[in-house]
Amino acid sequence: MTTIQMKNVSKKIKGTTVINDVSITCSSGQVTGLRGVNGSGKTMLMRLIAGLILPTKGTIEIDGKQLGKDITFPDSIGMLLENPSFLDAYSGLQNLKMLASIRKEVDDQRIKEVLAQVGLSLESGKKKYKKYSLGMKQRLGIAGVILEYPDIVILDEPTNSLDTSGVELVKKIVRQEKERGAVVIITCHDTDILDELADSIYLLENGTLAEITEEV
Amino acid sequence: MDESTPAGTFIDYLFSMFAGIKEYVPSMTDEFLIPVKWLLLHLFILYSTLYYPSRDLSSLGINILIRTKGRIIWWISKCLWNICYVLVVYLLIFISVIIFCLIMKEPISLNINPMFVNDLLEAESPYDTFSNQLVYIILLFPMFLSISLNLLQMTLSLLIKPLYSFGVMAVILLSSAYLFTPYLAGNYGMPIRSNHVVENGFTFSGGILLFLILIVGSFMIGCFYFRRYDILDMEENK
Repeated sequence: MTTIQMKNVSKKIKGTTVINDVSITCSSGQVTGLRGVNGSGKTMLMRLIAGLILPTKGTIEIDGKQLGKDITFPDSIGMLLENPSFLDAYSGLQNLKMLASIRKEVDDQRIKEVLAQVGLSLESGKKKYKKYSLGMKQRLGIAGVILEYPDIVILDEPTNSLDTSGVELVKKIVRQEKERGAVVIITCHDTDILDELADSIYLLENGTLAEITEEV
Repeated sequence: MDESTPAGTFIDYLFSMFAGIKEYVPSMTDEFLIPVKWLLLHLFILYSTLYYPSRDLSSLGINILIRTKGRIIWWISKCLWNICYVLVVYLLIFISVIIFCLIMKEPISLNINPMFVNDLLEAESPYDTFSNQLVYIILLFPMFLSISLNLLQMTLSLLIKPLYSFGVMAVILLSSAYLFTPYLAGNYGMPIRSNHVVENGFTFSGGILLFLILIVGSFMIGCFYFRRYDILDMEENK
């Protein structure tokens, strides 16, 4: 059971407040959606949860451990921020193997499994990443996120560059991750997708929480 | 080759490549000549490593960072990458000079030829023989200068845009060529300014000390600063 608690979090960058007094709680088995126009602070909020940036005010606790104080990064997190990025000279498979080799938590079988899960064949997995289409890159990015069964799954615009079947695949993966018990945080420009997937949706305006919609 | 001109050795060619320029004394007759070859070599190395750390943080590096869970480990890895890169560049230079010597049938030796130094480099050295320490200076100090400035540039890139950081390094190098002072690191990367070549030149220990200060200082400041550094898109936080 994982819980993320953001308490009165504010973040200033170069004197500009990009996140203002945001309090959110996300728990295992829940999908939290973030909605807002470009520059509203959705990605910043995700970076804060991932520990990539630290709050100017307030605290972020993951299972009671404060980010930036007790822990540097969440213990188990998979993250896709905007556009996926891998090594061009490696194949998709090699890129995933390289990521898996850091923590050594999953074997080759899981890597092949996750490739299939995102709709990439073993053959396309063996292609060089630089030869991937945008959609394939996005799928590989999602594969990298869920590879090691992370407790926290962050997906920033996961449907970017994907066709209809790709979008359906993302929906399926998000539901699977939710069922597995992960904390899923997702942003999406398509409000219908968010409505369909998220248990609660937070609307951000200029870094401030403007509205919370919770599924009954 | 003129029979009166002795053959240049491996170390002579390296010396001519890394020498830099003699101390510049401003006067009405002598104008300041920029040491183009020396400057370009160091600037090339600095520029080729300039964007690597910031690009890494805007791409795959983030996924590696959250998996290793260590900001300090990431910083150490980038410092080591920088050092390895410089070592490889210098190794390639050494190998190229060795190949050149083999082709030209020049001796691959570490004996410095005084005539080569005084005639080719116009060092106007008062010495007839050169100590072994000068060999170490020629082989190591330009490399140590590159390592020091690379680490300093990377640390500075945490605070300002990488390109500005590169500009600061260029200013340090140019100032070093213009001003002979023990506080400007570039001086130690010019073996022609060593006290083994000219009187009142820089000392071996002085160079080692300044390089150590720069390398350790850059590493420590980077470690300290990167612990709470905001990892945003490349240009977002500058």
